[in-house]
Amino acid sequence: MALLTKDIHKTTKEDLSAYLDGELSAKDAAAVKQHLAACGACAWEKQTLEQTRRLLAQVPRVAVPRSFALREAQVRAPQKAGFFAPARTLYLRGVTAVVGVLLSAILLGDAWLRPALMPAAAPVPASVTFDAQAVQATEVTSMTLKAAPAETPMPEATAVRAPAPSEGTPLPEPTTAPAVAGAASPAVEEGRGGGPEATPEVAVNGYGAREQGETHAPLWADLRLWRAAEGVLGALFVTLLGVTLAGWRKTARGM
Amino acid sequence: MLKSRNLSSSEFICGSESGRIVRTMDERELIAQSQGGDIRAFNQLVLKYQSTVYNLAYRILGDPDAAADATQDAFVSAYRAIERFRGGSFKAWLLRIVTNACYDQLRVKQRRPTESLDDMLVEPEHDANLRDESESPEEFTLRQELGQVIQYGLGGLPADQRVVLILSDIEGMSYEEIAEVTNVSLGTVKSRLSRARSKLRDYLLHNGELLPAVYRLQGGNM
Repeated sequence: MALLTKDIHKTTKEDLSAYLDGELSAKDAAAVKQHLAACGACAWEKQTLEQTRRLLAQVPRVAVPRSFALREAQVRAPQKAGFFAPARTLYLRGVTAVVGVLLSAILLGDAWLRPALMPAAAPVPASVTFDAQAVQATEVTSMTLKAAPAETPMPEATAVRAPAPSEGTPLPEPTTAPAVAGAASPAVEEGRGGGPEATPEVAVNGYGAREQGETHAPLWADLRLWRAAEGVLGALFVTLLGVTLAGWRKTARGM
Repeated sequence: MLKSRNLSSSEFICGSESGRIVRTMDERELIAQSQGGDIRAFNQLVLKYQSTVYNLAYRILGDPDAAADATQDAFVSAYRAIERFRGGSFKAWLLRIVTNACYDQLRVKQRRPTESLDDMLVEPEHDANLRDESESPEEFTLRQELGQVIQYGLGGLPADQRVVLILSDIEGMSYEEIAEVTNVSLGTVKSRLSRARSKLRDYLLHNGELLPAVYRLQGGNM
């Protein structure tokens, strides 16, 4: 019974405002009225709420401090919170221009660098092979020079022996030279063996020898980087251009 | 409800620059002209509603300067948006705009109305209350004091409860109109109003000494 009474009080209190405003259904209004007749606490609630409502109705009006009639200039001024406010539009156009310049630079760089590194499309393998072989030959030469100290004693020994039989001096030298040449030739052969292998890789790359896994290849020569930069800047530029043009049109319409 | 109104809700007097009466205009006609970009027609609507709009903003924000800003912002927004008005209650549509403008003011300035009311009370000469012709100066003074205490009490309410209470008990709007202005259901209007009134009632009971004696809440034994 106590629980039921509590529910009625709670419901009545919730409904009192609407009851005072005549916003309750006939059935609910009747239930509230019946309870108010029997409950002093809820009757007090109703009385004080009614007085509050009356006091609010007596609050004085305040005079407007000035006329709020609009002037043309007020209405034409761009909205403060608008996306296409002048400051933001200028910034947007600036950013679009910068991105456009960067994109142009990347594209120009791409166009300029490619012919410089790849003299002709068809003969590429041949010329590069030639270069590669030259590179290999240089390496072989340095290898030979490194090997020279080990063979130095031989020429000296031969030279020492050479003066003894004066008539046979020229002979040992040719012997030494071929020996040296012979020592060098396997190295050359090794180099040559490596040459043909290296050639196709260099030809395919076009910009550098990065595919060979050479760590000293410059970053600017990486073709993938160029393509990525072009893609990103291109997409960014198109987006910014679209937004800028949309803003331009909106400003022109006088919004 | 003490409201001064010269014209019926749909009538206007349109004057030329010299102020002479030219002809009466229907509100719908003025709205239609405003939608065509006629700013002078819109300003007739401004003249009609600016008192209601400003008073609502004033009671929500508790500060005359903030209320003026919100009122101006509301009318500019309304003019820009009037093409999207598709009929129905123009007053409710306009009051929704000003309510949103007030929420913007509350968000931006992060101001609690009670604080700004302190500033206002420091300069009593700033009080711009309108006296009803039928009341005596003494009665008017008492009502001014009532207004200040009520404003304190309103400042202690959450913004959404405050708005509903003002629309109902100061502006005299129905639950349906309030639901349209605040864009909530009737049930929400009812519960917010119930809570708001109870809270304000409690405030007035606890601060009864602030109220002029004639206005103090009187209740029987609990």
